[in-house]
Amino acid sequence: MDLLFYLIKKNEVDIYDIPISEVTEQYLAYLDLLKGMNVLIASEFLVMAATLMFIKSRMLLPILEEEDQDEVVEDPRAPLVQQLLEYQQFKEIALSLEARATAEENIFSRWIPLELLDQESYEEHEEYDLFLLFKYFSKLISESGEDPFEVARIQVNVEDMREELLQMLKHCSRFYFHEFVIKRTFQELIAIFLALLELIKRRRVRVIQPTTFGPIEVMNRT
Amino acid sequence: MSVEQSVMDKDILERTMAALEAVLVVAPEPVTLKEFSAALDFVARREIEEAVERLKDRYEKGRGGFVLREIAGGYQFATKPEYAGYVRRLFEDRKNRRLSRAAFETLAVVAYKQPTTRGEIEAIRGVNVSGTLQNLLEKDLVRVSGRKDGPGRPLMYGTTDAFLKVFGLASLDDLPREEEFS
Repeated sequence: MDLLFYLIKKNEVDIYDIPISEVTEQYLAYLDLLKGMNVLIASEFLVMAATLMFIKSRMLLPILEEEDQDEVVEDPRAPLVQQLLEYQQFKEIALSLEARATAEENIFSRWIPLELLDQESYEEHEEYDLFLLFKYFSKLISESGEDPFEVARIQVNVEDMREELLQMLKHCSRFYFHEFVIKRTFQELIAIFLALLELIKRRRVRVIQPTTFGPIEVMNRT
Repeated sequence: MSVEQSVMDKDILERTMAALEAVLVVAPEPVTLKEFSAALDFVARREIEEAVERLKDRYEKGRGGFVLREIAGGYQFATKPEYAGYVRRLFEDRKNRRLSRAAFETLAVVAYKQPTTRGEIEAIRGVNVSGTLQNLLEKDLVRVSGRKDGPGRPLMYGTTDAFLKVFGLASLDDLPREEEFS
């Protein structure tokens, strides 16, 4: 839109009577120029180019003259002209806003700019060291009325479970899956499941279910 | 209006104006008439309005370095432009809000079409404005004001109080009328 606006200004043509053919040509020439300079052409430019070419093609078509039709055939350029006019208006509004902002730069008052506020809050943060934070945290915990509890860190990893599965298979060539997972923690269950999937993928074990909904058996593949 | 025509006793009027001044000199933000009323609850609203107007007039005519100004729905002391140079020497970085041309154009559309959607802004400007809009949101000049009923329920944008302050506007009605631009 900006480029089109520029071209119309440059050619000093009447906005209500745009020589669409010329403008389209110039528009495309500019796109070529941009391409030549390795500038990534935004899709918006292509949309505008397509619009221009569409209008051009519409204008090439002969207008069927029908005597009894009083309707004025709409100029295919009309929507674009409307858009350009609106764009021009907002360009002027933007300029007046800019002028206002510039005038405002010479007027100072007691309001604290956002940037300054941000800085202050950063400085405040820096004063809170780790211990202070810990103190607040403990206070919050004690205020919440809930007893703090220790979270035991359970190390369960897939490799351990894989070894365990393989050991089991050394002792017996096949076993029931449900017996293997008795009294396991949730984390262990996940690890076992992952380990089993891995072993299946590696073709080390086979998993069968002889009857529907029946027990699942794990067995050596060999 | 002259002091002689005032509905208030001259002494009371002077005291009211002094109280307003006291509030104003401390306030970090523009003070609204409502806030004045809350602070001076023994004075009628109409009288407060009169006192504010007189105060404004007094500073305007006075030879001091600042005036009382109506901005963003409230009143605030602001320096006279001719003394900007001196202020800037001490508080150089206070105004650091230079916007790009794209930002001004986008802001212009938001200001006059609000509440408006990204799609509507893009239809006018003919380019993608998501980056510019994000920038304006971060600068607190534009805010999300709701969602539009319709397909996709797009976000609607409007201007903020900070916008009014940056452009020195008492309210949105203070914007020059759209028709004034050809």
